[in-house]
Amino acid sequence: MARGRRRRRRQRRKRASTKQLTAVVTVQDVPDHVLEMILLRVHSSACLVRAAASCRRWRRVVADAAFLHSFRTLHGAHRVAGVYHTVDPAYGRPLPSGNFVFVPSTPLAAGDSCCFALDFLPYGGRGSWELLDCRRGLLLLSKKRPRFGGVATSRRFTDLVVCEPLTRRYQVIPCPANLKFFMCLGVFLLDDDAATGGVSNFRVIAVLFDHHRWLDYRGMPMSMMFSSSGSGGDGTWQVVQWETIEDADLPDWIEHITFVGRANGRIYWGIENEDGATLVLDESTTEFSITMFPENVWAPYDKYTFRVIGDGDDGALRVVRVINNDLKVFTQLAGGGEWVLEKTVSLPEATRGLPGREEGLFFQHGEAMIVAANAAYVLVTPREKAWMFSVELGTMEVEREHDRNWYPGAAYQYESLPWPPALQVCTDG
Amino acid sequence: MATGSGAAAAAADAEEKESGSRMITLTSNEGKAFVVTEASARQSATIRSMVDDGGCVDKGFPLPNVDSKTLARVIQYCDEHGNKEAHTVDERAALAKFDKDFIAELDADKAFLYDVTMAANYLHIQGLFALTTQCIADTIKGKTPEEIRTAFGIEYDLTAQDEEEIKEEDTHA
Repeated sequence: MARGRRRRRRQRRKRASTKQLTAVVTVQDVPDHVLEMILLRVHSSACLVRAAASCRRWRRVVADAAFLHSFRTLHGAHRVAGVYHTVDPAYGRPLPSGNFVFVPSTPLAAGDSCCFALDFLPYGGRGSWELLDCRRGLLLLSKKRPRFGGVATSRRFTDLVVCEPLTRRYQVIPCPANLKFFMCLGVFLLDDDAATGGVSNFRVIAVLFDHHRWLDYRGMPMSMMFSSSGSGGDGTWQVVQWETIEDADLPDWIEHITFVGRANGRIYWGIENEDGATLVLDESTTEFSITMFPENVWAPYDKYTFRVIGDGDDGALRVVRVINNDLKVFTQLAGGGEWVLEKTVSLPEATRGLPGREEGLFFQHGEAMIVAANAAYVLVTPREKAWMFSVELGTMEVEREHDRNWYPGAAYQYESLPWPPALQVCTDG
Repeated sequence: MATGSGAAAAAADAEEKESGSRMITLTSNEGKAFVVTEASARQSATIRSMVDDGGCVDKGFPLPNVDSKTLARVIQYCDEHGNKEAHTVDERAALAKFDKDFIAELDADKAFLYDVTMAANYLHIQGLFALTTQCIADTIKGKTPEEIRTAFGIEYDLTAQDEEEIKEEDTHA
């Protein structure tokens, strides 16, 4: 109420003062109600959002509930959706523009495309960054490290940036000096109710790796949380888990621990040589635990042939495996019960006759590798040569035609929020 | 009765016709007088209502918020739209072409464009106001916030403190 009155008063004052005006030099000399008429004629909400990000006055005009209502009535709700594809250097040459590319699923309005190219990122633009995660209209990227050939270098904890493509806003999250040499198991944007989204309102969890405090030749996971100013943080990393946890010890070589999926609010890391033991981070409680998968699901374990998926329509947890070059889908029965084999398809059979398939070579010298997996499909290549194809999990059909096969790496669904939270905050009142 | 009302209507019609050819004087804030046809002047809802209210048609209308340069340009638009017919396809096309050239010329001089927009707003000339505001809105199209600031000469004033204000407003709400 108080806010409404204040705004109206401010508006009246502005209007009154413009009555005597004669010299209108810039658009800022145009009174609010005329500026409103101009902004109502902007053709898309993506453009409107950028206009609102240009200065305080424009943002105030745009954030006005009555204005937004008129705008929506005139133009309808516009949303940008698509997929950020990444390229895993293990399978493909990096793209000219870096390790990721945005493939919109709806035609982009003029001017949107440059936003999604992320040319506004600091430290030399998008080429200096690698995409790690994408949630609620935000992207999480890590600073590229010079590669010295060793894989371990690329798993060091680094500077991060969180950005909102549509408004071209970003926040850099510097790596604290005392953590520069820590190994990192993964960094994720959290998708919880505490953060409503937007560059001023998000949470990032980093999972680090260290030697076990009191077990010889063992490692342990640690976690830290970064909460942005809008979600109650002070703009620094806060320790969540820094001590040893009972029954959650790991091999002391990070190469034996591999991220294998994020499903139904949990993040999974497969562990080699530990009989199906899997490190799990619960996203809501931020607690670590070790889950044991049954032998029919995990054996024989290999980081290239094991993925955990979920978040499908039925809410079930699934494991996708390649065993004897069959792609197998296991599912856990409701209530955390028994694991059963749900579907299977023979990859050599299903790919037969597809263009580019090399008969005498593929599937001869080992298991095909899972490059990426999600609730909808699994991206696979024969071990002998990078030859991407995907298996549609609904039908278990194999195909090579889809755009998604061009990018050997994880794919992140992107959908813009209907309105940037900064505006939402103003209109919710 | 029937003939009476018919005669009244005819009289009103005649008056309307006559008024169409009446001349009206508009005076800019610099005191310069512009004589325009009533049809042209009626493009402005502000002047139209003053004329219909039986205002001082003979004495002319002083426009304290509009300077001569702007008024001349506004009249150019009103003459085109008020004095010419727009019934056939060709006539409408000619008018559309006029609008296109008119706004292209204005777009080249942004300060003047804002002046004309303000005058169109003040005089309630719907067509002209739509034309100029659309032109300004099109400048926003396809631009990043940085580019928008450059195009409009807007100062960057979004700060961390700004974010605080949003938060503060949020807690007030």
